[in-house]
Amino acid sequence: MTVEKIANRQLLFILFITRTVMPMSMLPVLAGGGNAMQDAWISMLIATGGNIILAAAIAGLGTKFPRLSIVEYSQRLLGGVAGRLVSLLPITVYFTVSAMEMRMYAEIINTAFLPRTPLIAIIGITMILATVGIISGIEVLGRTADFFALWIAIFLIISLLLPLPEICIENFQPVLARGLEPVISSALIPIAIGAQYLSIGMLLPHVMTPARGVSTALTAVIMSMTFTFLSTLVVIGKMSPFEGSQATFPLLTVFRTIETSEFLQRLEILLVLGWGLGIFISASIFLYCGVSALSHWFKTESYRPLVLPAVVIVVIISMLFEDIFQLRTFALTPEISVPLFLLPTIFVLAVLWGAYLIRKLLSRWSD
Amino acid sequence: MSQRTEHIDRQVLSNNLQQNLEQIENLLGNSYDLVIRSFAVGGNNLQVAVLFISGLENNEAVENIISDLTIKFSPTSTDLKADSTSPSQIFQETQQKIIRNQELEPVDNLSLLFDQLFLGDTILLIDGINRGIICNTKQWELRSLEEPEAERVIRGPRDGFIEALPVNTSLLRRRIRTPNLWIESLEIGTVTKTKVAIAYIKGLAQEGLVNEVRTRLQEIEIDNVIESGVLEEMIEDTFFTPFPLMHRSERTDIAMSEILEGRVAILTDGTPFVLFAPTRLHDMLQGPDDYYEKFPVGSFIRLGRMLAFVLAIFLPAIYIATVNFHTELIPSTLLLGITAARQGVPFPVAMEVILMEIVFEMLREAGLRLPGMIGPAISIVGALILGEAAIQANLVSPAVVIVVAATGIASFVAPSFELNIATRIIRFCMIILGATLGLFGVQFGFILLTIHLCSLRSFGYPYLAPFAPLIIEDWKDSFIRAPWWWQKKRPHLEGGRDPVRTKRNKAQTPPSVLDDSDYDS
Repeated sequence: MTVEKIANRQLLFILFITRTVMPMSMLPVLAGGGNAMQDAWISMLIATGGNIILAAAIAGLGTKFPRLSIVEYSQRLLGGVAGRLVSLLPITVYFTVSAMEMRMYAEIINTAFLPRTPLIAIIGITMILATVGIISGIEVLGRTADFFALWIAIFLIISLLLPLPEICIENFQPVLARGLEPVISSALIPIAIGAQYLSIGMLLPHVMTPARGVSTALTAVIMSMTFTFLSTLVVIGKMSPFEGSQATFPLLTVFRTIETSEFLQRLEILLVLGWGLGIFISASIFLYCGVSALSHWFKTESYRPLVLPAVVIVVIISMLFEDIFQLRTFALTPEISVPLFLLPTIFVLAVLWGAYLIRKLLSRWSD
Repeated sequence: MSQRTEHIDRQVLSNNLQQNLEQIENLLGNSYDLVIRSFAVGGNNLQVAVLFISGLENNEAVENIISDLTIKFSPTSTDLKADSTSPSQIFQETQQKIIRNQELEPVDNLSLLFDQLFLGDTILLIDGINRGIICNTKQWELRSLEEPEAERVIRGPRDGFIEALPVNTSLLRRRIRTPNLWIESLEIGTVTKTKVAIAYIKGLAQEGLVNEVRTRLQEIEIDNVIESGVLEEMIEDTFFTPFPLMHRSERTDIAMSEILEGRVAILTDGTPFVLFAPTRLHDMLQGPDDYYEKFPVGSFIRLGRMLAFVLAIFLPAIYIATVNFHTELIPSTLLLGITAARQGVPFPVAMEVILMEIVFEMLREAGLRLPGMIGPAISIVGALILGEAAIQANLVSPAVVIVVAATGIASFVAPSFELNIATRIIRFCMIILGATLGLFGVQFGFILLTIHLCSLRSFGYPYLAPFAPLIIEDWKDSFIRAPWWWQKKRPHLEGGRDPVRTKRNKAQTPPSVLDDSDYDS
């Protein structure tokens, strides 16, 4: 069986898209429980640091085993049973993230365009796309990411440039009025969302030059964090921090208020289109990571027979949330998302890195 | 039939001329176009016959063969030696030097004999010899080199390929004068035995690509190759797609540029359409004019063409989606206008658009088949009267007519007809998606289309390159056509073996030696 290959650039775009689109829709740094308010942009900077560490740790581990997925090398490092148990954590993250993104996108479409269409229809239709994409293979997904990355970037840039003239500097004041604590606690959620970078563990073996995986991942982190940072600025500047933290989809609300001229009124369509393209890539990539991790877990020949059952599971998970507010609470409360996403990621990384270093020391010793 | 073919393949020529002629006549069913001219040569009145198919031969060349033989071996000829009248002597001398014809080849089996006979060659049979001589006398009626009807340009060469393979290869040879232009030939079609040639630049085209094309062509087992379309479908990577995976053209300049970019041209005898492998989607959105006009003009036209391609697929779907689902996206004055015009129209918007599209498709097809004289009449009746009457009768709203007409025009902008057909089919799918799910459905269609395009490959080369995979250096010749000064490299994937088109290429600057101070003062 030939291993499908993607270019490092395609991995970069995939990571950029996955890390940009979903967080931007909800701006967790604002809406999270940390109450950083007008200082949310400082939280963003802290979160960027956290994301860089996470991404570097995951990609760095991958470069040590250039042709193995996270499921495979955790078994090699920890042995069959323990390795499998540990790799269940990333697999859970892949499926949960995929389901949450699906649900989130369905909610956006529902709010913005199709208020009377049932959520399950939107999720189902988007899932058809993801299924087709995954069955076509990672090469096709990589090329699709190549094709969409530019469009998404253009849509996002236009969306971020348009509100600029209406930004109110007073909204950012006073800086650090309540000290650093709320700022740091607000940064926790964007860092927890960094668990998304676990996808590197499944994608790196497909990359042309895995040795450059760390730099690819870090470039992606910086690119996507820049976009998220800018959108935080725009929302605070345009809406006031309080309104921003209350809105369900703050960025969407900002664009709804923009009127460039008599004729061009509803510009949020650009943003939603960009999101749509991005969510497709994002959800398919996590689903792909999930099914290919499962196939490595079960040691099956191909991941393709697992796709349909996995799709059903993801649809069910995404429909488990009662409404958008529950989803918000689930994703944006540090008490839930930190133990659910951040701690397992840190645990997996710590165990794997620890095992790797111990093995390295032992082998050096025996020499 | 295959039994007959096998039977013929086993037959060989005998020593008896009369028997040979009867056998050939029998096998051809006494077809009327087989011409046999028998005459006697030499002192012993040795019986000789020439055979050819009437209409394929060069009459003068056949006459020359006969006159050469009769003069050389005439009983009264002075230089006729006594021992040179034996059949084998005559055969040898004829083959070596007697006849003025340039190409002479011996033949002993009937299958080769028939092959050459049907190509227009003349076969010379001598009594007492179990072999014949093939003389090259091919000449048949050819169409003159004209500008291809479907691929007209404002500026550019006016000659196109024709139905004869040798003429087509000569057109390429004349333009690409390098020994590195290799033209291989093979025969495809068990009954038609069509000659197919593959042309490429040795050392530029990737070996893997040439081998792939050759192998795929050799693997074809089919009885006929009437047109290159048959080959195209037999060798393309997948047939589950409306998109053409091979570019085709009748234009010599397109063939040249494709070959010089490292692609392989497949020329088929009997058709002016040459196929090129591999191909990319955006190759089909390029016209030869883009390269001949100045680069801003070429780039502008090309951008317009891309926009038209997108509109041709999505415009009706977007119209239906916005009018049906997202009226808030339309500015209120425009929305009022559209709604007012729709007053009294009994159908839903989607139905209106589909009806008009179907009528438009029928008009287009009818216009294609109608004789030239009444073609314009139909288009006037169709476009003007039908559209006007439909609006008057409140069957469709004017906005729909505008949308359908604009789409129709946009779909003709792409220079490649095969791409136009693909857009037609996809447009209908998009209309259905837009009508059921609104813009969300259109986006669904767009993503699905992108996945499909990304998964397509032409001879292993990604179809959507240089956009996916992203090859920025090839963008100089994609959305825009950059000046020739900048295009120093060939396409990254196809021309990878010899990527540099030109090493030293600098734009001109005004000469500094020119003293124009007098004019300035």
